[in-house]
Amino acid sequence: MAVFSLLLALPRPAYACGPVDESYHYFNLFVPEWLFGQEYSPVFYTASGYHNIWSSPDYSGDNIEAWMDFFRSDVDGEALERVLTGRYTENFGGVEREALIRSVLFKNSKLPTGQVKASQDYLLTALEIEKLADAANQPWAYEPDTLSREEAGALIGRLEKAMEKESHPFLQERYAFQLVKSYRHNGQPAKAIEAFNHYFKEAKTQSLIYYWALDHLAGLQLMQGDTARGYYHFLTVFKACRSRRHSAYYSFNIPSQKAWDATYALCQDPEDKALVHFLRGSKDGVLGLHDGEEIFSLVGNHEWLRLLMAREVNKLESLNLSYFSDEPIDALFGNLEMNGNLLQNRENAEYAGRLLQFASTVYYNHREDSFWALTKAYLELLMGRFDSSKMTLEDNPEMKGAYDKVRREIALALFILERKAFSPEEEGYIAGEIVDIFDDGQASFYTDRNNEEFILDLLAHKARQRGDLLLAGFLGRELLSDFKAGPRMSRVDSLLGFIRRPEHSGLELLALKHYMGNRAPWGDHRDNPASLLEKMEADVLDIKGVLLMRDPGRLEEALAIFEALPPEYDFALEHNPFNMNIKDCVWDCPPRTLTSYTRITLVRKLIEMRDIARNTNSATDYYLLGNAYYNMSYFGPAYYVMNYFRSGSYYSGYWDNGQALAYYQKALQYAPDAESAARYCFMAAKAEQNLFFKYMTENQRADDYWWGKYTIDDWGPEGYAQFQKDIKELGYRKYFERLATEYGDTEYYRRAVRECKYLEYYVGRR
Amino acid sequence: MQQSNHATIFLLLLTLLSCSRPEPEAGFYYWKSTFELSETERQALDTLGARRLYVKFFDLDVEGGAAAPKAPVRFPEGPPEGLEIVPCVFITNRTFQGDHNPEALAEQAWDYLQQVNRRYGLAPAEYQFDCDWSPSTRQAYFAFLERINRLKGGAAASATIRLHQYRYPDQTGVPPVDKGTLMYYNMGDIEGVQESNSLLNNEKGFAYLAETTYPLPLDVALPIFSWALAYRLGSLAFIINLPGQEALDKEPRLEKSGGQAYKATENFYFEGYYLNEGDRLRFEYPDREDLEAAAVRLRKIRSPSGRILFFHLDEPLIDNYPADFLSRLVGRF
Repeated sequence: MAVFSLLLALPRPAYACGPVDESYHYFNLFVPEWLFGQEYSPVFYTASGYHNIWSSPDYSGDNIEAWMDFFRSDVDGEALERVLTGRYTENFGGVEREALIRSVLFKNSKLPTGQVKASQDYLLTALEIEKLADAANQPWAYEPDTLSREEAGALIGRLEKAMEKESHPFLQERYAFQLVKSYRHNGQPAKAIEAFNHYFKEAKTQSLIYYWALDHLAGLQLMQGDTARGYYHFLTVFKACRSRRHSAYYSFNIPSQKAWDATYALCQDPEDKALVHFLRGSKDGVLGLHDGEEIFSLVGNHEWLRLLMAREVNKLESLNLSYFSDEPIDALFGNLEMNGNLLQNRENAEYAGRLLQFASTVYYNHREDSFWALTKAYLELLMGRFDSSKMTLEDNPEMKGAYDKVRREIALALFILERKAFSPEEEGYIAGEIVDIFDDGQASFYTDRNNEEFILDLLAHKARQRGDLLLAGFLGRELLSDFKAGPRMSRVDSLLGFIRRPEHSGLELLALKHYMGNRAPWGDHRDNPASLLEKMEADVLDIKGVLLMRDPGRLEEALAIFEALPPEYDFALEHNPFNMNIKDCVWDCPPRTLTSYTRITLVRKLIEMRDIARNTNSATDYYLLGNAYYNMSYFGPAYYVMNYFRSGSYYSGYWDNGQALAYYQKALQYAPDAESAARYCFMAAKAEQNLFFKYMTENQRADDYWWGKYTIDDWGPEGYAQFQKDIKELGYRKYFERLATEYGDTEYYRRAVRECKYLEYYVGRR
Repeated sequence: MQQSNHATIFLLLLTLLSCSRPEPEAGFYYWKSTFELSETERQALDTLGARRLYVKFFDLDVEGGAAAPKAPVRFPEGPPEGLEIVPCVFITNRTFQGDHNPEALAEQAWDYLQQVNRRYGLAPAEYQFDCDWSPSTRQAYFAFLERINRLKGGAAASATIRLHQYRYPDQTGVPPVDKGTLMYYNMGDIEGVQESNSLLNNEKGFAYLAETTYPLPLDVALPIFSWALAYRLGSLAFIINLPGQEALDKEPRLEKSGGQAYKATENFYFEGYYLNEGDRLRFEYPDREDLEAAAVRLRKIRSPSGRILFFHLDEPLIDNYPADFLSRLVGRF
């Protein structure tokens, strides 16, 4: 039924029913945006069905420009833009368009009063008509709230009268367009067609608005069963009017040979015929080779042919090089080993072979056109014919602009594919090419067509194969800032080992630059990497110091590192980590606690207190140490001492309260009196509860509803009761029990019961 | 001897019990957006005594990043008299993969259903939701259904259950509804070029039915549709709704490469689709004997509700599976 639903409702290609991965990756070495202008972007191949529809330019500026000409630029341009497009603009984003027309658009304008009044009348009427055509904006209305038949009829009547009165040809034409549109949206297709024929058919010049009206006419003709003329008019709109190109392109869906023949018969010249082939061949899912061959026979090496061929190459790239998983390139190399090409199945290989055959024919007939050399070389690359591909590129060394960039991309991919390892010089060359081709001197390692990422993934694969996992990670776009969210000591040591290598290749430096998030110009580091390496070493040592702090026995090591780091690595604490409240507080804790500690002085203090506690069994010092380890964890306000990052949606970084609990246990052991013991016991209970959260998070069932964090903030009474039941049954309420049993008569206990809802709940149901 | 007597009595009791089983009730799905019953379709309903139609009111899908109803049903001649309409909502799995709040979505969907009801004066006693949920969407879909439960008043809510969901309720979860409809079709690998019949394959289907007790009362749905699956560059490209194989056999630009398999030898238009050279097509239909065997087997599933539904009511399909054959199937169920 699932399949059928789409089948019957929407006769369009079926998509895989698997989960949609928003992080879908596809690679375009053959970048259409580089090779062609944006004007034909609806035709560019994309792996996302929505990409072209939503991201392509709509050329609404063409209409704005026409109006500005009419107004001799003597109106407020920004107001005009908002009036015509409805778009948010900086100064008039929240202003009703009607108000703009009345009060702002013509303010201070020296246009004749009559023109201003006529224009205002027209624009206000056009706004009313938008309401008539507004059904598409009300998806959740079974019967959208548009104008009633009567209201629409009255509006159309006013429109006709206004048009009769209007003397400006510019406005007359637009009124006529509104009339066609109004009849259409009011369910009067015959009247709409009649209006078009009356006002536009004999037009001597074909303006922008003529094509907008023609776009409506084409749709009306399809609705009326006059399909050939409908498609032919869409074809005309596509060709002549870029601001309606989207609409025309997505409306051009010939369903049968009969409709095709009839449309084709209306095409008088070869260019029109070629365009019909172009539109069909570039439709979603269609293999465009046959239509490409037809275009070639009709008009030769036309831009439409190149666009279509680029689309087919992009399609092969997307189908064969794209990935959902983390290790796409492994599959690619698997194909290469198994099948001798980069293509995933026989059907793809066969189609690529047929494309190559055709591309070669055009190539040998049009040696002057770099496009075909690139197409041939790239298809050869995909088919695993690396030598042929190289030869094709070598035969065409002189390419210009974007073509040269694509040539270098393909050459770079070949260079990497053919080698298992690279000399330092070769890595320097690769780094230089990456920076140059992708204009990525900042090492952002990002391109919207993922072509740089493809090269990086190839390199990462090679590094992984050589066992250089760190470099593979850097090339795979790992970041130091991500690592800081959950650092591990073993990785810290590996990073230090990498940084301290005696020499670094250009590629290693470029990868490190990205890993560090360093955005300085590449030239600053390529020849003199010392500052980059020093900065990275200091950053990693800082992480090491923070990790060492987790173990009180290694505080001296942490201190030594912090003291050796440049002064800017130390920082003043905003919270006194030794303070503690009954209720947890992380942000904006009132009253704000004062402190004069820096991180270094704090560590010194921790060492001092640790030693005092050990030597004297000082309960107070153990308690304060417990507070410090609690407050420096995820759960405390001084979390930034031990964490570089704190997530609001999941537990991150140092969130194990085991050390805090151990100190509270010691404090309890050596407590001098019942009041102190009650305080220590309560704090132990808090740490114990956080350990329960840790347990629950780490042992959550994989298919449980999962928001990343075991939180009780917004639970209802049932969820709260379940939490209390779970925590007790799993043995994480030992200290509440002890508090109630052994220290129930202390003042601190009574205060804690008043302030702590968890405790109140617990003792109320013991 | 004594044992033998007991066995005879037991068998007699069993026979009596099975004889006293209420007659199964037949129903149909109606999956087209414009509701217009042809004479053949009416006759099929009458012959089977079917008084209940499961009509798709709309699809719920994502468009431009937002969930929205698509292909809403229209009753140009008004809703049919004498038939109970069960509104169905088909929901794509990706609808629950986005950031849409499932409860808010349920409220919107419910409101939309009520708009249709008000427009045509309907007061349905049941609503059915059809979504092939996955582990990543289960929670959101079930939250959606929970919200529907709170909105539906006295009406019943039902959900379609795929075979794997029927077989593994512990893993896939059980939707929070009053009852389910077990969809006994689409049991093969529709994506696979090499698959023989993804639509109905009892060998695979019966394996799913083995020893399972599903926690909801279940209607059972059997397929009576056929289609041609079109594969391009080795992947499923589109599905052609095709009531019979003749159109494929008669097309000279399709080279038959097996009983139900074809290969396009050139580019051409076929049934509204533009086929490309090299495309592979596979015609699939439910074999009558397989349907009969399925009905017999499905009778034995635990927790049946006693209703058998056919997907779906459409004249060309009724021509292939006439009402008397469908009556026989109902009798076997």
